[in-house]
Amino acid sequence: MRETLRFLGALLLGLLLVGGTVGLGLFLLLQGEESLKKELLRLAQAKLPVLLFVGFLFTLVLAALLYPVFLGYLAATRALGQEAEILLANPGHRLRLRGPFELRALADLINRLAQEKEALEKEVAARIAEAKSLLEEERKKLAALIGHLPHGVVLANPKGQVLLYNQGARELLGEGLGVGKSLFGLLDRGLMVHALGLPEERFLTQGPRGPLWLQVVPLEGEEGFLVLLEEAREKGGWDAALLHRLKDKLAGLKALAEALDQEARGTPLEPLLKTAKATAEELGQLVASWEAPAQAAEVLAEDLLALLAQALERETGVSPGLSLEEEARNLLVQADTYALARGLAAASRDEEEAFLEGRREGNLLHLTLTLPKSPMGPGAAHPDLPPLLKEAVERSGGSAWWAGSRLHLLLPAREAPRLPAKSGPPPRAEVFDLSLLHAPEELEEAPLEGLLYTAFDLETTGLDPEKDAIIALGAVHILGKTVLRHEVFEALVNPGRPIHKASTEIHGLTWEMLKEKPKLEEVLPGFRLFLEDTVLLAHNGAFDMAFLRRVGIDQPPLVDTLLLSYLLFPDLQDHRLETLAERFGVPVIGRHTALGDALMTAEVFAGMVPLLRAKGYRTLGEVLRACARLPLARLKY
Amino acid sequence: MRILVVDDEESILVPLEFLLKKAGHEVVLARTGEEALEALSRGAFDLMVLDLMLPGMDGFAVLERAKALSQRPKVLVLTARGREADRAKALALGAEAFMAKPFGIQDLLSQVEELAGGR
Repeated sequence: MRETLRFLGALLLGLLLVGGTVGLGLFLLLQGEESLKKELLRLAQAKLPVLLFVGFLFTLVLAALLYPVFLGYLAATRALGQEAEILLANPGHRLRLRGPFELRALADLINRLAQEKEALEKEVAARIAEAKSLLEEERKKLAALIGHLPHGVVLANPKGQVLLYNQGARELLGEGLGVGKSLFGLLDRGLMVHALGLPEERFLTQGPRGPLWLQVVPLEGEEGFLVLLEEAREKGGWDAALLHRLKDKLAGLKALAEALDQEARGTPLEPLLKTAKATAEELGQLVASWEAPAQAAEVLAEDLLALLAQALERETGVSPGLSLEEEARNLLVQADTYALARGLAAASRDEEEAFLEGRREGNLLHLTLTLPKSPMGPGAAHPDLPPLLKEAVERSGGSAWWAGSRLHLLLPAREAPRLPAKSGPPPRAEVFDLSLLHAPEELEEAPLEGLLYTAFDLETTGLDPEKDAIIALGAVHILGKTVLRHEVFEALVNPGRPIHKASTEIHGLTWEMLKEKPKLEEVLPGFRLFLEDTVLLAHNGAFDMAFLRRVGIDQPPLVDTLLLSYLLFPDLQDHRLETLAERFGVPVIGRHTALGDALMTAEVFAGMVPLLRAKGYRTLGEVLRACARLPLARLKY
Repeated sequence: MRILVVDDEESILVPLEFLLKKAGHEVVLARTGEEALEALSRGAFDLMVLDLMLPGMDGFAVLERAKALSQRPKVLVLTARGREADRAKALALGAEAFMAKPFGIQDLLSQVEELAGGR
């Protein structure tokens, strides 16, 4: 369009120039030649059609001369420029030699330069690869080590976004775990912050797939932390409720045997009951010593009091007075500090002041929390303990009760062994690829390379989102420019109805192939988890989103590689996914399978990121706004 | 002596009732905390043998409520929760004695007599 207007403008200018020059020449020649002027005017009037025809012929000739310059040279030069930009992303791409001779020569020159650049880059890459191989060896060892640890290991940045995890962590935390995703959606944020302050301590918490032991270790000198996870089922351990029940029943049986034994003296039953009594006695002795393992770690009394005081201040705004008996200072107390802190905070809501006192009572630490404003006068009925506190005390193997305005807590404790102070720096993990350590505040302000995307694709029974159904979903995570090929989601879905032949020809899926597959509502929760905390990415995403919206998934923003292609190459004609893949040197494998297309979209996007940056689109917001201005963005399905 | 035995375990109630009656005491049985409080409100007891883990209101709660009664019985806590923290709590809440399950009936009877003697 632009070229056409410029061409018409140039034509008009040419006509004005030639017409003006001829007119001016005639005007000057005919000065003082009145009769000749009249004669010429008469002749011109008489021969007007001939003159107009000559003028038309002249215009045609001029247009024929100008046309190749504008529509051939200029547009082709621009297209050549845009195609040449692909070389920045895909050095293996070569420009096609077409158009006028000069442009073909130019394209040939660019190709040769690209070839040289590619060779140079290969050489540099080879050297880097050589240098990296040693590092890679280390990395592999570390990855194998982490991968085979019996514990779940997750490395996260200060915002809780996952940088690295092992299979164990995936098994314990489920599909919601992924590189770049937030850990805080899976684990209690307050507990993580609390645990970070106590890197030596393990905490019992509820994970997405059951109870977990959790330990959080800050990374020395790095911004981030390491989370260690273990399933909270103690092998061979006793469940407290079961053990108490066993003791209860055994006590009953033993009492019965003893009572019967007393009654049966001198009767023929005596030897039988004696044996029963002795057996019950032995059993009783065996069971008496069993205790259910406490589900809490040990912490120094001194640290415990300080922690509880901090938590009270944070949760209730009250800064409690503290006192700890000298004798109790060195006690190792069994306590789930997080649950205890929250329980105490719940007990002291609406208080204006509090006093926390600790003293030793044999093998117990006796904590007394005095709340002067407490509603209970002496002798008044006490409210129940807050459930959080009850649970915390139970887990710690202790007890708690109210007495007037005082809350008493007893926690099992033992004298801390005196260990020599550790020398040298604390142990630290070797970590790598921490591009996420500096996470942006706002999504829109985030640089394109710093975001986690989910490239996805759907296969459907047809093109109408109102009538047709989803039959396959494929998705892959992509972190900035890195496609995370190990984090994929793929599912075939039973649409509950036959599939048109025309549609089968595209994706190759038939009704028979899908009959045994799960229904969409069974697949969606996993898909939803996979998308969570990521930016959606699709080729011609408006189509896929129309289908997803109908099943309740709408998670803006959406980055569309089709729109990005129009943004990057407005003068190229073909913006289909496979053409883009070819341009960016992405192998076309599994076209029209949902996962195959999702992977291809991801790779194409990875290639586009540097080009977008070169064009000045730095953040997600800038890209989305530019895409929204394209006429194509208004297309609705 | 009037004794209230509170336990949800039938195998405990049966021999205890038998033995205490045989020792010459008047025995009333309760299977829940609520039943125990009701019995306490109906008449005075000299001793309450109390389990801690009861369905509904637990033994600690019964102990606290019993403390507020004008004629409160002495309390012997008899429980499978034998932890030191439970013992200390029971004594702090006003129990006179604490025995962990499983127990020997002779120990129990002598403990009952001891409490009866101190009446």
